[in-house]
Amino acid sequence: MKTDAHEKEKEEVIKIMARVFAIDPSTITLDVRIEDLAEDSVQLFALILAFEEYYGTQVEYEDLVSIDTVGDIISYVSARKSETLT
Amino acid sequence: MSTREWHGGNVCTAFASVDEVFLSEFSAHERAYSNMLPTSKRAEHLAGVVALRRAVSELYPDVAHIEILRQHDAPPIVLLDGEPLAAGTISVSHSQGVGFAVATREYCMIGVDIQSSERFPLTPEQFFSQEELEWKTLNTPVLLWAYKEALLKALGVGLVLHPKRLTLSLNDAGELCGAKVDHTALCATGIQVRQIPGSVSVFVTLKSEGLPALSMPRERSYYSAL
Repeated sequence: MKTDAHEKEKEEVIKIMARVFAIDPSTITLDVRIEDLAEDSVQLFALILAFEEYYGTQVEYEDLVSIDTVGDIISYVSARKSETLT
Repeated sequence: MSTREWHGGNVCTAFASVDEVFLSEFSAHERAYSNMLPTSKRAEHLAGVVALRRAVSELYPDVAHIEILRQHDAPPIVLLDGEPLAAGTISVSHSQGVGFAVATREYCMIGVDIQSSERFPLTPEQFFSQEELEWKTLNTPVLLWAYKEALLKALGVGLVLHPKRLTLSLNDAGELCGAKVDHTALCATGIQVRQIPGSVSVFVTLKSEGLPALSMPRERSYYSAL
């Protein structure tokens, strides 16, 4: 089911973020801003690298201007995966 | 830590520590903005505000009241006795309980960065360009990252541009003298590096004359604030 796939995607994204930011995954909700979770820009960059490694795809750096919250990241990852599959 | 330093012309940098943050010295707006930040980030953000105020007050010694207005997704606005700063450029960074800021009287391509040298998880392969990976530099990766981040801020693009697309030029002493984005050369006209316990800070000025416009979106404001 699409909903299950979306939930799995969400869990994966949150797990990666919790590992990179070294925080409790339960504190990561969809409306939290990424800048509020990252300690600094090095952590933000490390997050991009972690997503690239996990999904085996290059992040388009220019797309970052439209990403603000955890929910935005999940939407972005879902969209990139769909692009890769089609 | 209460350092202010002129760099000739109309440029001033300043540091401030979280130990110098006293809530009563901030306006209602400044306090309200910091209260929207996670608790762990408030004091460091305000240290950045104090550093920026110090740099601006050096440029405008006759101004009695300086306020830094911030809004989500918008660059900071400096108010001098209630009036927005009409010209000039600012850049702010903070890390490890220290705020670092630069202010200029006129428009300049400037950027600052302060990085923890004790906690730096990146390897050179993750952010060095191919050319840089062939170097035999004595500089530590954290200093080269700070150079890159300050340059990306000076360009106004932040992490929207992958650090690998930026190749640094160092002189024989390992000091930054320029850089290039892909094949576009950048000339660094002013550089300050400070090694402070647990951190390294970098301030760079780029020569804007003759620099072709780089085709990329502007950074989100928060990249410049980190």
